[in-house]
Amino acid sequence: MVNQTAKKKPNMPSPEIGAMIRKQRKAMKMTVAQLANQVGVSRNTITNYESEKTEPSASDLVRLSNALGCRVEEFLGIVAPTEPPRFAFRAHVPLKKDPSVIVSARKFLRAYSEIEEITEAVLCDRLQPYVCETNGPLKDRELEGLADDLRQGCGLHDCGPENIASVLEGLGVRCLFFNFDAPGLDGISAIQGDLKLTMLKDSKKNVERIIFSGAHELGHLVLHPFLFTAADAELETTRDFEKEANKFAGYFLVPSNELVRVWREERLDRLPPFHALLILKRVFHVSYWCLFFRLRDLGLIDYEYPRFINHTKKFMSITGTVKIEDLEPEPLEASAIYRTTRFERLVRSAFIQELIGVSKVAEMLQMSVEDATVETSKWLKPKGAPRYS
Amino acid sequence: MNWWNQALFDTCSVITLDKLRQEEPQIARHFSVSIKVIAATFSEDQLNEDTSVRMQPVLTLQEIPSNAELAKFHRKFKPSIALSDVDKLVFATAVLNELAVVTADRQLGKAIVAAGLQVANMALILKELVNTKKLSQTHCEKLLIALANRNDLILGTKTPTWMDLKKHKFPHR
Repeated sequence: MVNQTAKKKPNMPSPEIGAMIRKQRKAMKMTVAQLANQVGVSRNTITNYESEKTEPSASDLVRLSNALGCRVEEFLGIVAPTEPPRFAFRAHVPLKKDPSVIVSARKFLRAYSEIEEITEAVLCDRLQPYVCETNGPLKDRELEGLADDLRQGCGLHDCGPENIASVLEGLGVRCLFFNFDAPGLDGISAIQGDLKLTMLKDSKKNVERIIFSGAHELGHLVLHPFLFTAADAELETTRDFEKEANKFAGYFLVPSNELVRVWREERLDRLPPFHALLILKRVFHVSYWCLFFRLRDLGLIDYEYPRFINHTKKFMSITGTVKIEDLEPEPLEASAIYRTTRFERLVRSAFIQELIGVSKVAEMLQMSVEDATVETSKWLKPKGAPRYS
Repeated sequence: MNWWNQALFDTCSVITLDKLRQEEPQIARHFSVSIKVIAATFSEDQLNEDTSVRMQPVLTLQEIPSNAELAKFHRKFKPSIALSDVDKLVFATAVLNELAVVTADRQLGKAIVAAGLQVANMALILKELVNTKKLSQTHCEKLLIALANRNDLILGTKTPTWMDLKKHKFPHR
């Protein structure tokens, strides 16, 4: 055990801190039990802090701020509390019961804004001119028009969909890859103040889904900015926001004119659709299923979805039940997607310039200081660098 | 008694000291058996469990400031956003207890110097051990290389030499 030589001073409860802990916990939609679990204390301890029966020590404040994704200075009343990030939650209802993603996003947003300040690297918001002002449901033609405008303005054609992170960043959307194990969650966006953040699942398989998710989240940011601010009850229940974002992603990644051009020029109508889609996949680098829906919408193939699933299973010699995400012929390699993000580059750059140390790298990348020691040593001595004696 | 045995160590310095002790158990005699650290150093997001277990017997928890003192400290010193929350707490604890600091972080080092306190990193401590003839240059170089092989690049290079250490300055270049 660590020697405890110093006598602990009695901490007189400070009324602001207890109230602030409760306020931050509620803002993060966290229960007392969840916060207690994150901090590693009992529920009573948290209740006592909040009711100002006892006051947390400065070390406890560091742990509480880490668990809630806020700054210690906010508890101390040194800086004004930051609003938690707002998510478009409709597609991710289970997340409402698990605040860890919100906390993680909040910490990343804080880290992002700090690293931009430390490195004096500003990211311009180029997305705003493309943001849709309409509140009602959008027709396909409108979705396609918005996607085309954005596609032409964002450089997707130059860097390719594998570089979706760079495409988002070029538009002023902060992008990160994260590890979060929730079924069906491939990407999520948040807005905090002026900062827009898209977090994409850092999955080694289903790379096509990561690309599509990036475009889908972009769709929400462009088409449904109000989703990030409105309470669920205020939103129209008849409008299918997910379907609109999916359609937008399809138009964005696979523009109609290019799809039709390749289809006709390469006479793909002569092939069985399975093989035609595989050839198109080599052109557009998106999922087989994204291409299926685009071709079907354009009337270039005439297949019902369930029938085409059976058709695909037959070509892939698959029998029995299979998840749709496992039904991706000729999947892209895990290395096909560029996982480098501006955030990681800025952190690395700041470390190399010694503007920040290992401890700050650890805090920003949400890893232990020991792991950050290893990570930063790789930055100082990159793989493949020659050793001179 | 070496001055750093009265100093407050940050997490990175504890990690380096642990690696040094594993590499060269004899090095322990130059360090106190009650190295001062703050409790926050022991959270999971700081130290790995095995390091924590190895180092706990030689660490002593330094009393940290009360929240009122911490708030006052923040208003007066306005710690940089380049410091992690734990390093800000190390900074406040050192200033309020008038302790020297052993840290790997140049920004924290500069802040400590600006507050009028003594500061060093583990590299400077090794240099001082050589300068006071408690450690040979060859032995020191061997330790620096061993640390680098354990992914602890205290001189920022994978192939550190005595000459690198001789030229090394901290916290200012």
